[in-house]
Amino acid sequence: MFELDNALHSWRQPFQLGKYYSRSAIDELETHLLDAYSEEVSNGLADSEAFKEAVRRIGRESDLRDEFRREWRDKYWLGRYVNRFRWETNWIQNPAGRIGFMVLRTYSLLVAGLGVAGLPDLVYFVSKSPTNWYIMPDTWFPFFGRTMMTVFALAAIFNLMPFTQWRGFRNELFRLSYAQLALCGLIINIYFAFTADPNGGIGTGIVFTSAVIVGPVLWMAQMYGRRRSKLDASLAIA
Amino acid sequence: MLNKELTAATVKPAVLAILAERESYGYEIIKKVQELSDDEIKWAEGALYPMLHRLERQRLIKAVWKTAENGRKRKYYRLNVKGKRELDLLRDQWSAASNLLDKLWGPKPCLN
Repeated sequence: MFELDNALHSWRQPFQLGKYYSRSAIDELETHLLDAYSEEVSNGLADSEAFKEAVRRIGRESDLRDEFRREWRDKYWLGRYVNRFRWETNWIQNPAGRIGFMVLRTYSLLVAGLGVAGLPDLVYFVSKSPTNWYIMPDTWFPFFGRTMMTVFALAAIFNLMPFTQWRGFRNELFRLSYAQLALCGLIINIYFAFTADPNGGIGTGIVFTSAVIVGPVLWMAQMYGRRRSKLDASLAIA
Repeated sequence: MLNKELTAATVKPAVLAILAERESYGYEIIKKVQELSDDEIKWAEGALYPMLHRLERQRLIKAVWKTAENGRKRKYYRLNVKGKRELDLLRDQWSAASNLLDKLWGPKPCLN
């Protein structure tokens, strides 16, 4: 027995998992598909045959991917980012989980930026005082340097879009661990940015260093993971 | 049947010309092209949409979601002022090309 809603759902799925389609574009394609389906039914085809013919006319996701990818590449980086964000959250079925992931991801991006931004500070502190580098010197550089680098790092991260949706428990755990570390990094970064406390102490120094070193390392690891998940996604669609 | 390159080249001027008459949506645009070309020109139906989105981003056309008579939500496109100017430009260029080919391929003068 042919069920139009089920058939539509199956047809939509590869588009929703594909990263080049906005929700609006999928809705638009679906309206076209329904128009073609209605036309084929009125031409006398059975429901299931009419749907197959309509799908053949409009094309499957694999047929349209190249055209939409070209359009996606032409978009401004912000548009590409929003699209990618939507693509990633689509993997999560639970609405609460989806919101949680969106919050977590926005936050992780921000902290990754701060982590990268802290690198020049760390190099500066270590070079100035190799034994007591974790005691932040009260100079203009920590604040100015970090602020400037944050701007550049965030711009780079948003453009490169390194974060990706990894599936599986291990990867979720990985992201969660990163978020916790990132939280520490964020607090420390903000603390030092606004107070430039010369007596930060070794504890805060260690956390700060963790954020500065581990943040970019995880970031690079995720870039590598992005390539892998791209492969996974294309295999899932095939 | 038009070849692939020529078909691709006609998409932009044809879409702009159809939208110059009145606002329309993807399915209707494709039907109109098939009807006017006596099925000589057949576009890949789904591939029209990235082109429409590109024209929208170039601010040549404007899109609005509306609810059609059958209750279905449709995205309607209409031409912008910039799109009208672009259409005039394309019309001039295609006319020049068409005139040239008409002269080259037109009836040979009678030598008797």
